[in-house]
Amino acid sequence: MHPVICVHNLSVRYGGAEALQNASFEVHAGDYVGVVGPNGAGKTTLIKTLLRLMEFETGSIEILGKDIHSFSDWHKIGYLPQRASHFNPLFPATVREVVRLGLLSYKAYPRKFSGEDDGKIRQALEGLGIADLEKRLVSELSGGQQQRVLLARALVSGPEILILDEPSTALDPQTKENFFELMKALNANRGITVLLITHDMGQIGRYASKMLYLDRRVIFYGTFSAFCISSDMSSYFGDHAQHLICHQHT
Amino acid sequence: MEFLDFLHYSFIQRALLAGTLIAVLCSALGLFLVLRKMSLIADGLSHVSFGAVALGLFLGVYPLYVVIPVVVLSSHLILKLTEKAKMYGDAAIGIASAVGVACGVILASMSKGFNVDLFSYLFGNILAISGTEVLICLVLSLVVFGLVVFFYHDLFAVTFDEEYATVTGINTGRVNSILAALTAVTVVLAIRVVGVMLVSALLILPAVSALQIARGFRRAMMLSAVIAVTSVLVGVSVSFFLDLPAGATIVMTNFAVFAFILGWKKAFAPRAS
Repeated sequence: MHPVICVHNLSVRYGGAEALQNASFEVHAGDYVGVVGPNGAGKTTLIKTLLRLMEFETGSIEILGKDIHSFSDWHKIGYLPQRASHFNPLFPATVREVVRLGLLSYKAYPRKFSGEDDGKIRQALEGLGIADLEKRLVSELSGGQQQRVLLARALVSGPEILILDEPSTALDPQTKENFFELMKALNANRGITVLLITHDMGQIGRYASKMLYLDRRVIFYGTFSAFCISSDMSSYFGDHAQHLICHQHT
Repeated sequence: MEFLDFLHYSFIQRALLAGTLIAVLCSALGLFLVLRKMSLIADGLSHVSFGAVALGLFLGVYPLYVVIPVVVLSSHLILKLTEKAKMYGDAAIGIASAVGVACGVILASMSKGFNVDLFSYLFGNILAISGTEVLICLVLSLVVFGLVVFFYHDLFAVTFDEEYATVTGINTGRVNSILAALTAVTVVLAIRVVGVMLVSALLILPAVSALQIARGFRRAMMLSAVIAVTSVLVGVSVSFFLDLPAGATIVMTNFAVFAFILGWKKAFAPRAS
């Protein structure tokens, strides 16, 4: 099967320092990959490079079979950024106006929206159980509701790949649990490939099909169970730490 | 009927027409600038225009022909300074303001006799606007408004979340340049209404008033336009009857609307944020 994301020998510099070094991995259609690692490990750098928000020094990236420099089907990528809690409280955008942004990459100038687009927006909101919020101001919603609005924005274009940067940071434990359940359902029912940065190793064990452990380079890439029995990881983390990581989700 | 007789004066008709056009432009762009925390760019560009007016008068050229290219170029330079020179936007605006005023002062001191004309640009005089200026205003307003409508979704996307806008394939650098250039042209036009010293108020006040109560971005834009146009119409009328400076009266009307909305919101809508 052809990978939907193929990263080969990727090196990225950020602020003069090497943020990522010779990273190589492949993500296949339907994978649910949890990206983990300590602070400054290059997780966000990797995501931003995949989204062309950062340039890379060497290596190559292919998305859906195309080199990233010639890739233009951005509507096939859904992106949920880290900072749902950082909405400008003055910004008077309604939920509908924000979700509609997810359809922009479809639209050639002068970017007219149709009744069909309205239907897609409603469908995305209904799918996440927030149809009743359509006319509310985003700034008035709770953190969990804002997170769902941004997820609806990411899903409204019907993406094949969903990239999420620490989506659960500002959420309470129950909302966080619901969010991971939702991701799992989207992955299982709609076949969306998920690439998710998180600090929560326990959630990775429970929900993700693969784990990508970064520390400025790829330390491990494979299934969580393979991680738990890997002697390389045992030597890298130490037996005790590996045991703790592997039993967080049980 | 006597009250409305003043509308028969052609200078009042020109003032109301030009003022309405500029008010609509200021309200549309002001919303993007305020939400992007770029309000002061209008202030900076108005100070640059002071220097450019002085240059036009010094060279004996109709000032508007010098001001438009100089201010558009300056808006681009402010953006580039912010992006490339690792400088905060307010610092770049401060530099442009200071250089603009310094140039104006030097040219005024080197000249003989245009200080009175320069002074009129400092405080504006919409009642003295000529037919040609109204025509220039009409053409430029249509161009600016057309571009705002054409790029509306891009401007909204970049204002709401620049990073996400980039991911959707929007050329955010180009959108920022367009916003800066449109602001520059609007500032130049607005200088005739309220003058260099007060131009930023015309961009900021209707936007912040609308943001207090609007529910939805498009509604905020329409409300901002209604407030801006009303302030111009009321301001020009009041200034005529009370013999007050028109520009300052328009700004004070805008401020009165803002104060009223703020007070009303505090009194009757304490829950709204």
